[in-house]
Amino acid sequence: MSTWHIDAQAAEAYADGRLDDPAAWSLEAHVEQCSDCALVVSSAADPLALAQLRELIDQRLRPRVRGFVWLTVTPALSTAWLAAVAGVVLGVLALDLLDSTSVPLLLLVAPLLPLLGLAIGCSAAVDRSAELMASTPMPALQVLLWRAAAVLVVSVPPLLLASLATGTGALRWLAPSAALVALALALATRLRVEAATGFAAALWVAVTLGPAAVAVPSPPGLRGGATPGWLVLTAVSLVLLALRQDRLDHWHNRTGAGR
Amino acid sequence: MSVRVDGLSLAYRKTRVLDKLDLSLDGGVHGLLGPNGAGKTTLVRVLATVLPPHEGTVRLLGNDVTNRRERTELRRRLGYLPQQLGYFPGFTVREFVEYMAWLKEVPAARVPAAVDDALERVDLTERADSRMRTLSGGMLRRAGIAQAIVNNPELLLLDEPTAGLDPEQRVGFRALLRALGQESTVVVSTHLVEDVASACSGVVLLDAGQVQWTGTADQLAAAGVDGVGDTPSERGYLALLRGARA
Repeated sequence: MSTWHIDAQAAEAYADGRLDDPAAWSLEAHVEQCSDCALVVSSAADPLALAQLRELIDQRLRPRVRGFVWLTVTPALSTAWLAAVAGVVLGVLALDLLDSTSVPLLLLVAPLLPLLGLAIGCSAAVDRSAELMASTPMPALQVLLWRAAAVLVVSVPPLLLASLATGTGALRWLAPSAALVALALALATRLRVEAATGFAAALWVAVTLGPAAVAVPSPPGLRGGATPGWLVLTAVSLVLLALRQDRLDHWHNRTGAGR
Repeated sequence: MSVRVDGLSLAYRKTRVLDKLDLSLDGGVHGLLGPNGAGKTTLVRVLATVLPPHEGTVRLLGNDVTNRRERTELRRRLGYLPQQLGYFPGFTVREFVEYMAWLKEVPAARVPAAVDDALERVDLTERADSRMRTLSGGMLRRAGIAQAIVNNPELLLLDEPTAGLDPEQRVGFRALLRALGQESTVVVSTHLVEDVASACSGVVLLDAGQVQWTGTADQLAAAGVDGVGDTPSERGYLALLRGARA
């Protein structure tokens, strides 16, 4: 215990920054151990400056809740992707308004957009932080679902607007969109995300784009009867996804052998 | 035992990269040495739970990596610096490390202090608010180390951490390594023999997907008294490698 204590004069000089370095150091060393003197010094300090300091400390220590923001950090929400979505929707809209006789292009293209977004958002080739993310306790299913949701949130509204503008029934493309995204997620429990989304896209090409390209007037995937089929596919895929979510964990790293 | 690997095999398509590898490590800093293509990065990625083993058992901090619940528990106590650091270029250094702290489930109330502490330890406090895209190679490496240690990991895996660091930073980094080795198990993969000689307590020599030799840094230096190489450790490394291949 030191018997030396800080007098009011020294405390004031310290608070004003007038004390020379050695004296300031010994004062600081003392107040760390002597609460009485710490009080003397802090009461000598400018109350306004002290309040500002407290505010600063509070700010730095306050937990920042950014979970939602962090989860949607994906390359699929980059300006490039948003611009591409806008461009495609506007282009499709223009073509459909010009030509109202054949199958609306919107119906053919709309289900592919969320799928493409999912591939971009979840592919390790694009998202270079995938390697780091894979080593963290964050569940893979959660990451994939949030990213898929983020992609849908940005791609569906413009498509809906385009749908309204051309008078095309929204459910006709919403149902296959949901089914293809769900199917891709379910397949990702076994395949690489790129392959899973590729497979889902191939299915779409087989039942709609392909037939439409060879001028089939009503492609099977877009007929009125197809909508319940798409909804069933969505449900089955989601159940599969829930059952097999364990195997999503290494979705970036399917090395072939073993799993 | 922090790291216990038995009969670990892993193949990319038909190329066998790890071949019935056995390894046990506990505490301190362990240098993973070996030529290019020896399987260093693959081994580190398996230890980081990024790659699932194809054969064999891997127990880290008492957790089996093939069990989902145990793997999640392990990941909270793990730090990993990949060879190629992926990041979002628009993030600031602080945001990047905060993001990783959040992913590693560091309690929200502790995140700001943990981030400050990690940045301080890698000497990056002054660049905390710079965007990742503006950092030099050495700074990126340090940001990568900061995210790896932000959750005070008990097992820290660093893949080529000294790549891109200048000599002064490298010396500083070795001091940091020694400090980290005091409280956790650190595995450092490198092809720089001098990193191992000055910062590692243990040395693991990897070649052709198998552990060829383990020992201390002193034993490494003593292993090749009059062979080729410029430093005792280099001579030891080359002699052991040649011996393993003979």
